[in-house]
Amino acid sequence: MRDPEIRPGIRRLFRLVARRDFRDEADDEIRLHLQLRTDQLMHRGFSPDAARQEAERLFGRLNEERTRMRNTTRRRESRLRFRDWLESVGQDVRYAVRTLRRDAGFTLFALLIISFGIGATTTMFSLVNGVLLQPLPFHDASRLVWISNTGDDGIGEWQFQVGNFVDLAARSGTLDGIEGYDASYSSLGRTTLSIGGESERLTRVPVTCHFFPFLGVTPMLGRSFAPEECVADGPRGVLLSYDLWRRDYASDHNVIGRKITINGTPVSVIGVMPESFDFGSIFAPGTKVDMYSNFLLTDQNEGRGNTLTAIGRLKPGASIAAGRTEAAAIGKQLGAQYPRRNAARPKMIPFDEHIHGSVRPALVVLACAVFAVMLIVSANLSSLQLARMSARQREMAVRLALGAANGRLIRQALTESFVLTAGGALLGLSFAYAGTRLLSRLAAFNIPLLDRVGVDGSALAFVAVLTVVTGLLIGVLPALNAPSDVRTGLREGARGSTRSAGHTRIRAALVVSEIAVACMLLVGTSLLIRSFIRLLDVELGFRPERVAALRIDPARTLPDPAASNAYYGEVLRRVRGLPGITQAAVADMLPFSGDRSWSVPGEGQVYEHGAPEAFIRVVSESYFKTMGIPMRAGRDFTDGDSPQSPPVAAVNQTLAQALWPGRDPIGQAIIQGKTRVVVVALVGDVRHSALEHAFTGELYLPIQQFNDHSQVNLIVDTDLPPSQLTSSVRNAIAPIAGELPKTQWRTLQELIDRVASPRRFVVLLLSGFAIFALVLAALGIYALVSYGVSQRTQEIGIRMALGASAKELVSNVMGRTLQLAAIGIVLGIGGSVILARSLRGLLFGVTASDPVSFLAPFLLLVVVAGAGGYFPARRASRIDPSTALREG
Amino acid sequence: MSTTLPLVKGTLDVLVLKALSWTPMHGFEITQWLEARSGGALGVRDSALYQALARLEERGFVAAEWGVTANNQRARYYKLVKAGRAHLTAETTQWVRYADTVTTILTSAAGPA
Repeated sequence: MRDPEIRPGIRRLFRLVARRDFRDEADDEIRLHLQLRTDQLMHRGFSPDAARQEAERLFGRLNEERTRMRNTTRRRESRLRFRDWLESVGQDVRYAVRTLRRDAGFTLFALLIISFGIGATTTMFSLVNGVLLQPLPFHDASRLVWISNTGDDGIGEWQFQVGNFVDLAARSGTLDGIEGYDASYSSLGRTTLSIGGESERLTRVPVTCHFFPFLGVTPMLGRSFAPEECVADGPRGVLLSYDLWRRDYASDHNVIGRKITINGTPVSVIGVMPESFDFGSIFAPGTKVDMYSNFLLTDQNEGRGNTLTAIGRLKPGASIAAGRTEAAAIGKQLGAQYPRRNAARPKMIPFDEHIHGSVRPALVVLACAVFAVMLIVSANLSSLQLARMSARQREMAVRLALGAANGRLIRQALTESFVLTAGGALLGLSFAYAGTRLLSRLAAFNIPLLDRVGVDGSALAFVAVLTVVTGLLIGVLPALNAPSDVRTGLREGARGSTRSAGHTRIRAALVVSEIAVACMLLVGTSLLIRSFIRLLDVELGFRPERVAALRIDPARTLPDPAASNAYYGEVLRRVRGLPGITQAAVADMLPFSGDRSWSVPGEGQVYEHGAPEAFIRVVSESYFKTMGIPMRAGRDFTDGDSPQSPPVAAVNQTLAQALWPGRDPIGQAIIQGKTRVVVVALVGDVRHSALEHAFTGELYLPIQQFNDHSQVNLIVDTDLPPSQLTSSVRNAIAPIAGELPKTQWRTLQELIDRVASPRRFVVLLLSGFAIFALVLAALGIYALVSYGVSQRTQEIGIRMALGASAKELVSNVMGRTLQLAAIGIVLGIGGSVILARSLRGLLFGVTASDPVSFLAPFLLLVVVAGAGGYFPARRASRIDPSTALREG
Repeated sequence: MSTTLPLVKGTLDVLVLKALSWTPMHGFEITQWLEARSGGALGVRDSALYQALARLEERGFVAAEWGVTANNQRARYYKLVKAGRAHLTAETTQWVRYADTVTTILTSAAGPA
């Protein structure tokens, strides 16, 4: 007996002949057995009844056995059925692959656009999932609230003074605790770590004592701050970031307890934060934080003004509304009780809104855009598949005639689109991997939690779902249009039949919807592009083009103000002599890179709601000239404004307007602490934190008189690219500054680009999507018209034979094409009006009904549709009537 | 049926395989074959036979298909497949060695080893 295994084909044949209920199968087998046994016994002389009884006895436990056999049969049946199914799916897949191979051009095109669509969609999903959907990596993150201090007008985001912070925490009944960090940025980059003889400039963030336990972040090594480290005279400890620990301490586990020297003071390393904790990515996107020290709630820090950014946690059951009301009331109490303090006007929002609020609308727009792109991809392929099905009607009819079930044909049509989608998904997945890697490393973009973005399990699940849905979207129309019986199938294989006319109508509808969706994408994109252009055109208040900055903080802490003044004076003297440098100045902070603020009361003024707040800038003489900030009145600071001379200041127009509306600010005085400071200059307003924000008050203090500043930037106005200045400046100031940390030049343009980056990010991606959509819509039109022309070859031949001119034919085809495009565009413009309204929050400097943003896509689509129709039309006009008639 | 021998556990499966090694059979034919070959000495309940067949099918030693008997009745025919043949050979070798060994011991004279 060779061939012992029954071949699946044979098995299926059997089952097709006698497919019966599994219960019958088991029963049949038993019945036959009993009958044969009974016959045998009767043959041996048993009476029929006795024979029957004996047969059943010999069989033993008949009922039990029957049930068991039924179960076995059922299991076997379903196993077989599943195997058959798998096998037929395999057949369909092989058939689809064969068919697709024959049509390599179409297949390649389909794979490309599906993979692009799925790649983009998955990248977007990962982005939204990582940045918006996944919970923040903190304990009980949903109850965390962000508490900022607002200006008198309720806008602006300031920090809290230490006293206000402490009192807010003590008096709140709705919060379970408030912690904070020093957001005055006075420490960012100011920390100098000395190891051996070398020094390194690091970024250190001072956080309040229980900041880490409060957030539920546990150090990977060591511990967080201990109570004795939280008092004024206690020992000092720092926690290292994972990266610093790996880089500078070679991941040494014995680093805990080691004394290191920071800014010349010895402190102990008490812990190392885990790799997963990235302060910068959440609180200050784009900043790498190297270590955390503890911020003491002392009088000395109170004197530094508004420094603390507060994060609270609502008690269980407490609503944010209750928290808000209470915090506002406490703010008022504090204002009345401590008139000398800076004002506290707490504004409370959910923490995750603070983190995501600025990026959410943009990401939602991008997600919708990518969804639209996916729809266009599906519509496009669905239409192409329909065309291919029309061409294959005859083949399908033949297969029906040969016995293929109608359902099977539908399934095969679906399988083909699933095979395409699955292939595209595999390719798309690699795009998504590349895309997310690229995104997560774009440090230049100011988006919180961007580093969490990657293709993970949920992204894979998303791709799986997306593949199935896309496969259905693409395949369902072609599948439903598979011929249902032989006769109609064969008849419809002929050209110009009703069914293929139906196909063309469906395809036209698909193309119209492609155009409509593309139109909406284009309008949305133009609105945002125009907003972006307006944003870049915004009045900055300074001239960024030629200005670059370099950190030049002295390597050692200088002993007294006189010594630092001498240092700044000498640096400027040396730098100004260098070729290529036209102006030079020193300042503590640059625009768009950190702020500190405090209240600036005018002399003799009483305020109902606290004095106006202003951002503080500590600058040298020539700063305004170097930056190109216009001097409206008064004089620049000079070397004569020394520690010994009367304190002076400059105010910007906004602050002057707030303090002395309608009066000349020059010669007026403000009170800083107990010091009377005379205003000697009125300067133009400068953008500070964001390009979109209105101007705020600014107070400039001369660096010679005001020694409390966190960093020192050399600012130069130069004709040369900054990189060419590096060595000359370094050499020039090396004798006095010592070894400068390896900080790079930053141009002010870079700083502006950075704050504009989230918008640029959105505009870039959106433009990419819109262009892709446009191309697809164009191809959709082209394919439709082209197909139409090839179907009508005969008809066109007849018309030409009857004397129609080429021109008439072209205009005929073009007319139909533009008619389709017009329907699509009208629908699209209608949708765009609604879309534009929902985009309002993202617009800047343009209205939702900006005519240019509507007109440009309109014209573009008309041109593209025209082009999509023109080429097939021209081909039609060149049809040779005699050939067309012969071949038709 | 006191004259029949009780079946040693596990032997029924091998016996069924042996029966099928000659030709495909349906259940009743197998009982007939067993009765004929053993001279009726083996007491096999019919239900036990069907259980054995189900077991063997599950393990992939036999395959089944519906066929028609000589009297034109629908019957489920069991057929030995490759794996079953290999199993039968292995089991037979083992059974023979086992039986030989036990027989040798039991039929030799008793005494110290």
